[in-house]
Amino acid sequence: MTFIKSDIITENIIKRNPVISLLFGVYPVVAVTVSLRNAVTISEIIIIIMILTGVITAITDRLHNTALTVSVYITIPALTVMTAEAILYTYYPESYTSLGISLPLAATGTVITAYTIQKRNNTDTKNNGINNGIGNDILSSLIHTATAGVGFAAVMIIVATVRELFGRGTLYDIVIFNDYSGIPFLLMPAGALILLGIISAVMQAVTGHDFVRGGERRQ
Amino acid sequence: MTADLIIVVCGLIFADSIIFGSVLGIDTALLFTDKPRRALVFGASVIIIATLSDIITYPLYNYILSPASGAYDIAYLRTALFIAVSAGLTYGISIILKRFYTPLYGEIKGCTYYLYSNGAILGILITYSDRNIGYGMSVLYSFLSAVAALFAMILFADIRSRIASEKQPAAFRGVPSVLLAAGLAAMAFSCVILL
Repeated sequence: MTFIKSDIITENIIKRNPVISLLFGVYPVVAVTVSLRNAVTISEIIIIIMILTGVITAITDRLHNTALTVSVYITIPALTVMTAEAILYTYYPESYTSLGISLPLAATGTVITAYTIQKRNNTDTKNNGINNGIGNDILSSLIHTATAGVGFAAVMIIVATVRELFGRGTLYDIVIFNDYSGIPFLLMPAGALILLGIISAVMQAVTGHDFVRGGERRQ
Repeated sequence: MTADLIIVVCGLIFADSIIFGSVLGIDTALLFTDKPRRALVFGASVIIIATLSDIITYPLYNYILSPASGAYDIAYLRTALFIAVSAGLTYGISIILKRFYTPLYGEIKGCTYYLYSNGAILGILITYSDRNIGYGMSVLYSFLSAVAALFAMILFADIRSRIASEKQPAAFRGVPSVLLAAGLAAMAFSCVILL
């Protein structure tokens, strides 16, 4: 167990949140969060993919076979999404229809790539050193991917709550504001990105932690 | 014919832009636009992989997997097939580059993991596999969509480099300003739809 630190939860959820401080997994947050129900569904799928891929690539990493690790990294998300598609198509057809192309694209999120397969590049500053010290330890990978997944889901849920409540006047498809015409801008991708930017700025001001990616020039 | 082509190209660059229109590729676009050169290398890689993948996946999906083909009803394998083909191509091309064109491999080395399963590439493949527009047009649209993505990425990389060189309030420095700029860019691209 090489990585587990006492502050890993605050690290992965608040200080170095995958979305608002590192820019990973922005597509699902922008595309899916017009509905809280869809946001919860996609968050669950992505957390499952992250944990499964993180743990299994940690095991295959021990064999020092890059081709095998890459195959696992490609196969696990694709199979998980196919299973999710089958379950939603059979039991929740409305969710399946409303998610549309966002469902298969859940398998391609950068948040999955960044927190799973890039473990080996411990010194890669382009990845902001988020996996530094994890190596191929299974328990560390499990905790690391799970907490990062929770951090990602927290942003999804906050953004979805604001967008659905003020954009349509509903929450989890339940009408909250009667005769409310809504703010259509919030339902557009531009509205989601600006909302994310504001949340990121507020978090940066509150935590005092610099949300500056590796390639960005500090002032 | 030429006028139709210009309208299609303008539509793909602005209204249907996979970066700021349908936002399918915004995930990696935000990661690889911190420097214009990285945006160029990543965008060019997306053009090559998306076009070659569509050449392979369109017939496989429409003549074997799709229920409309009358062969088998195994359309649920679509996501796995598209990811496998694009990842296989990425892996194959990176191996060839590593062996024969080492300097070029050095350029794309940092983004290969993000090309194995990429939202922009998968989005392009899924979008045009469903549209029933014919093999040639599907390949052409995939190529043009990827070129439009490259255009949007270079544009946004330039915006980011200008933002980085300006003085900003402490709270908005770094990621918040990138997200706000992306929001404004998406708004600008949406306005073209209204025009």
